[in-house]
Amino acid sequence: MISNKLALDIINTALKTGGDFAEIYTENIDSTTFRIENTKVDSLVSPKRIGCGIRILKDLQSVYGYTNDLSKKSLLKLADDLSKRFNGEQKIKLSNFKPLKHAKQISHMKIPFDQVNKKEIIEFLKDGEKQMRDYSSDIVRTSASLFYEYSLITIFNSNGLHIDDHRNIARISASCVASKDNKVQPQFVAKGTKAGWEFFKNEINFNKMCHKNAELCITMLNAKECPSGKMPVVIGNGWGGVLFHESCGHPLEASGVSKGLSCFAGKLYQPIASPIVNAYDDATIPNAWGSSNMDDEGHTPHKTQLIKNGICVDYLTDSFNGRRMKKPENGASRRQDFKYEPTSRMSNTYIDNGTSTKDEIIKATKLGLYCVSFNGGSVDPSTGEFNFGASEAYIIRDGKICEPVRGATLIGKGDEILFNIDMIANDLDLADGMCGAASGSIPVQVGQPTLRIKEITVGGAGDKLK
Amino acid sequence: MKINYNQFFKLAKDKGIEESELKYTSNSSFECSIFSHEIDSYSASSTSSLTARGIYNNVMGFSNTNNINKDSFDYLVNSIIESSEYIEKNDDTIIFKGSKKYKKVHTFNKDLENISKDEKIKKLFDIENKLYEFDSRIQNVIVGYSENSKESQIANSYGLKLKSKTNYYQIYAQVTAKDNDQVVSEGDIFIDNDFSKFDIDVWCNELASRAIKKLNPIQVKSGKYKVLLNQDTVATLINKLLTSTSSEEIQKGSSILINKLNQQIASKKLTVYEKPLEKNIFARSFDDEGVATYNKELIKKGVLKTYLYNLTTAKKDNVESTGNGYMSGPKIGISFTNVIIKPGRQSFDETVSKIKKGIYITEISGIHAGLNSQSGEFNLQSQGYLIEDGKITKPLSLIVLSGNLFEMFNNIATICSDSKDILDTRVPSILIKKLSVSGK
Repeated sequence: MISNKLALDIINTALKTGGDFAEIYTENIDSTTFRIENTKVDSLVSPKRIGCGIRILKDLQSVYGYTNDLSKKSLLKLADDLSKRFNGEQKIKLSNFKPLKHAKQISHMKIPFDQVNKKEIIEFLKDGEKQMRDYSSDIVRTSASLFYEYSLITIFNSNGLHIDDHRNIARISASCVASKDNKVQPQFVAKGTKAGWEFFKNEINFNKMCHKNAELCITMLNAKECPSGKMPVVIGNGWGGVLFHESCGHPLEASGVSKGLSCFAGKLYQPIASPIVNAYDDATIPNAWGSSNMDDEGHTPHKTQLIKNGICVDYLTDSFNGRRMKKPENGASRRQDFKYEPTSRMSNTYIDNGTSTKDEIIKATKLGLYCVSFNGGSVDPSTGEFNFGASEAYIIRDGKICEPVRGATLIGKGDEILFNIDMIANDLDLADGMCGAASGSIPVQVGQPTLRIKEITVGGAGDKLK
Repeated sequence: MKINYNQFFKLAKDKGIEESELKYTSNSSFECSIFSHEIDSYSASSTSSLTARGIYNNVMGFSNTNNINKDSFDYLVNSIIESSEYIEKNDDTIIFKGSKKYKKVHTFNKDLENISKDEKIKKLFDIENKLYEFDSRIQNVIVGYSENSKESQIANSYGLKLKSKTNYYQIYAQVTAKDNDQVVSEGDIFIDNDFSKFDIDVWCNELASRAIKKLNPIQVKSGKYKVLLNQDTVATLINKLLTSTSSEEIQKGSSILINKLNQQIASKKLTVYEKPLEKNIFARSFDDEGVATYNKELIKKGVLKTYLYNLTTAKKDNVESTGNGYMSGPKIGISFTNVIIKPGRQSFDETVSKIKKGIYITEISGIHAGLNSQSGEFNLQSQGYLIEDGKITKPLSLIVLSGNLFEMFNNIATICSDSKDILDTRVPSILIKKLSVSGK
């Protein structure tokens, strides 16, 4: 999209006022979304997007600009305007880039989506949607969607890097709404991948996924409200990992840590969790929703251990925030698209397997809550206060899973909660979601085995737990 | 950029798209933030896009691109035709001929562009200094400024042509304060397009003082309490409740307000308006279908007066569009702007003085996960203060406010007189008779 010569002009223009680093990030994105609603194809759209972001760093300051006008005039003007934010003399002048590198593909499509007959995809979605419609007459609204996207990312920077990355991503989702006796209950399920159509067609069972979504919808429609108060909570594997993501993942990102704005700032090599906790962020899992071939500054993705036997052993670090921390980057720089300056973000983040089993954990709990799945949550990294809302939960009584309850919201503080994990099972699973922060909304996986928190505040409209 | 709309409509017609619409949008922005007395980040942007809709084979196709060049029209027309091949929904095939009259709104302030970037950035340093100077317990301050300017044109093959131009700035700050090893944080946003309206002393003092007042919070005992919601909280919750007045939700059976037109759905104390023509930066003269907007009463003394319609849902119910058709992805959905709750007569202070024991909620978070707009149920992490014997006393944190929007707005004890603008919503504080609060 941009020639080497133009890229060189842009970089050197950007650095003429003494910047010590400049980067050009371009992307060319083709996406397609199918949507079925109430048995009919509601929409099928294929928007195209292009864009370019230019970044200049000088010591601990950064300037960023973006446009979707990729003409020479527009890009050189943008670089010039941005350079005017600094006052200095040119220190770096680049004469050429190293030979073009291609980011190593860690994900592979066996059946690319654009080679699949659109009618086949439509029938596939309709079959799944029918599962939800047929489940119960109380289900009044259903929809199923498939989204896939191809993008070509190219990065040039003043270290001479010239690298490109062919990316693909896809996600299938289903939702339904049940209504009865003046109550309304929505339910949503989704699964994403960096593999191809073969993942949805052969590796997951979409009809079963939709059936389970409808079953859960009706269960929750009829469930009573969750009790409130402090209690032991068993958190299910997979989606349960949103606990770690909100309470600890965000506060371990350099964007907050580097400025002392995180509850984990200054806690490197100190205990931040119970000694049975080991946690990782791994951007290298093949085909996983949160994985990358390269991060969004062109660096190699990493598997980073964040917590070892309860001790904080690393932070997720991008190169810019790493300057403040005097720490090198570890492949954690991400952004939603060209409109955003990259910063340290999570990829596939999880608590690792422990030594108990799920059954042992449930049996060991006399009275508490079992949260199987979550809608999401949020955190204020500066105070560590977090929340997440359960989309499927049950009371545990005398070591047995009992009646379903809805509306459970768990809250706490990131620098306390991990100390309260007293049992971890060996059934690690990962689940897909979207994470929003300063550099936009990005695909991530959250994960963990089933684990128990011995005490956490549960908010619910129901009465005290009995 | 000059767009030749007639060339597009002709090309579309030649390919069998008899009715079509083209929208051009351009945006420019600049943002700056400071940290530790230095510029931390600075960004600038300019972007544009073309969105087209057209009726082909009796269905509405859609296409969009931000790669605007001489081939864009061909791409947009071909995409509409390609997408139409598979679309089965055919009840939304309406390209609007135009309203009889449009009321002008003034959402662009040229003066904002004449103020230099350096002057705007200097304001941030002044804010940072004032916040640090307020109290030695204030630990960290982030201050930022962003400015956005947007121009859009929409035209269709019936000759309708409408333009709108908007600009605004936002000043935001977040502070953390520390005492006894406990950290609290507080933030605020000011938004307008008149730079002179920003009162730095009042804004900084209020923000810093709120942060200090939050220090050393406690958790309250779980139970049911009288709950006084501040304006920020009321604004979020009323906007969520109003999503159930969408005629699309009603017609698809997923709204609790089905068959509730002209019926009591809330307390008699509650009157709510939607005023898209209000004189502020959020005003809209026409919706995304080109239908003229108008000010309307949504809830009058607790009675639901209207659902919100776009052209397609209005046709189904044999009524006129209420000018609430806004793009939601590739489709026209329902949205609203400038929601106003009619204030009551009793002041905030008088309301507090009458509460023997209650909770004053000043902040809620986790809305996307803890609030179900369709059922109205919410369980939200909250912050606030205890009210004891008519006074606001200890700060509270790590509590969960639980309830149901529809029940809550039926259980209003008092609507105060202290209306405040929270973005595009103007609301007073509201005292609710009873809500569940979880803590200890």
